[in-house]
Amino acid sequence: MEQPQQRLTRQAKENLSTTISSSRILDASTRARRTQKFLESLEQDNFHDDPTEPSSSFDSTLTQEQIAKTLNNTSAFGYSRHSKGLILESDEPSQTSNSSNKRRKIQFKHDVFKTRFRKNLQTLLDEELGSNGDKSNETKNYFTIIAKPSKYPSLKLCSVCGFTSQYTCQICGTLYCSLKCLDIHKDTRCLKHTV
Amino acid sequence: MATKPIFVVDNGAHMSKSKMNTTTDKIRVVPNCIMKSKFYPRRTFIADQIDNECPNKTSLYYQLPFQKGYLVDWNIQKQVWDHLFGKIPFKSTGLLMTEPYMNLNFIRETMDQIFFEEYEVASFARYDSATLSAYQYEQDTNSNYVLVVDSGFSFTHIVPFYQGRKILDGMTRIDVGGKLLTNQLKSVISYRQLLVMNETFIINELKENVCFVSLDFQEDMKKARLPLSENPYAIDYVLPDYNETKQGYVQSAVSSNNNIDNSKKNLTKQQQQIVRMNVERFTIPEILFRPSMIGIDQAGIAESIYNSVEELPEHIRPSLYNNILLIGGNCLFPNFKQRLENELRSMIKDDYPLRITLPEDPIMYGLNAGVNLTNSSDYGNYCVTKREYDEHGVAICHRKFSDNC
Repeated sequence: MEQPQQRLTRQAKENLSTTISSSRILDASTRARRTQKFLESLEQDNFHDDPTEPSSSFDSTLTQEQIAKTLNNTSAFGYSRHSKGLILESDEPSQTSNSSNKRRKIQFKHDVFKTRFRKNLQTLLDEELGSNGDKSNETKNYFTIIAKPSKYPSLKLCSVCGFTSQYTCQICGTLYCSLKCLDIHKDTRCLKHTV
Repeated sequence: MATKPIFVVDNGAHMSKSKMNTTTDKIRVVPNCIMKSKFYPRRTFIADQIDNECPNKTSLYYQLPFQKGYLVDWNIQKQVWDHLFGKIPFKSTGLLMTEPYMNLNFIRETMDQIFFEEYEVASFARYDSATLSAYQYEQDTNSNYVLVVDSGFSFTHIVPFYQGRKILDGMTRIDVGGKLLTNQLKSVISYRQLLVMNETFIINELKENVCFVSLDFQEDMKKARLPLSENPYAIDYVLPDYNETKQGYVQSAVSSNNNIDNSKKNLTKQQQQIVRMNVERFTIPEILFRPSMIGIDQAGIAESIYNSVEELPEHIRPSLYNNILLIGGNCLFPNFKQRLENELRSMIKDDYPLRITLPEDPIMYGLNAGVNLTNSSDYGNYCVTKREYDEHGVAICHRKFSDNC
């Protein structure tokens, strides 16, 4: 009696999970956030780590948990969050051996030198123009000379093949042109590297 | 009258172009960044050391002093400048440096201070590229009005000028530049064919070699769908592997399909990495004309020119449309000027004349204009000498160079 019940519940669970995932439709604000993230990624200089940084190379002195941590900090495409400056070495909790501590201390000093004497563009803009960008200001500044939005409708291109697209993915809102492209999109990219 | 030696530098976010005004040497063009290579783990390559000392340009790690078009990282920039200036005797040489548009005062003051106090230049001038280009254009054509369209690495600016001074009301910035185009091309190729997210150098070369601006987008889309034997746009681009091929090159798509039976060629074909370029060739530069296609809520170049000029009084509009000047690297895309003419012609009034000038070398135009400015007789009015700086401090730079804003 046990086994048929188990099989039934496992089957039911599978059905449940597919309905949950297919009913998960991203709302407009999440989609807007995703396009923002995408546009910010277009501003990046590099998508990989600094090859001369000692922490980016795997060596045998790293413990299992250190390796697991570095793997956790890389997203699906292999972009390490280290290179985006999202993790400062000092944030991570202390570890085991002395040599790794010394290496981290040198790393920490190195990072501080890099980050402290370098003001971000955002900081500079905020300092100069006030926190809301002084958009109401009469004189022209960095924010007021941005081009106005276009009168014309945007050009829609399929994200998979690059030709003109007519349909949008129900779940995440990306454009596709045909069922074949939709299948590829669902298998590879839909909600795969989410914000 | 002997001209004073002045070193002219067009300090761009991608490349730094420089020339001494007294010599007739070639312009020195170096990448304005520091690069690291995984093949040389202990060293960094500053500016053009990459061309001479690093043969393998795969997976280069870039560190740019510019962020979104503005100079924020002085450490890196100083290293590039030290490498660039070398042994120039600044005590007797002046300097003309370019800055981005709407530059922040903090950056301006820091730049003034660095050049007067650390490098100790004899005279210093800080202008943006459009001002220099407008000066040159007005010298060449004797027209009072110029509309400069500067489409570079970080962004695109549309700047109208009257008699050498910017008309601020008509200034517009579109946040699409060469960097965005290269990154978009990288993400498209990485998704569809080959993971190239780390290969900025190689894909930049690819973009410059094969991309063009489409004149009739719908037609070109139709042509791109044709099968390989009839498709005029599909090509295979062989990526350089820096063992045999040092530079990427184009191979016809049809020929690479036909060479299956020749076994020797098959072997080399397997060793090469080939990227098939079809629609991407013209949809990537299309972003300049329609930024909305990737989600940027701004109008493209042609429409922004129209919007800019509409902000200005009606009697100067014909003169501006008659004197449009294109500078910057993105203008080198084939058909760029023709496409701009077509789009603008359909937007503006029939009786307005439309004349767009694309110089022979849009990248060097600003620099050559700067060299001509330094050789002019009244250059003293345009620059700040060391003595003036010592007397008045940073304020005089702010006053003299901000008349043009």
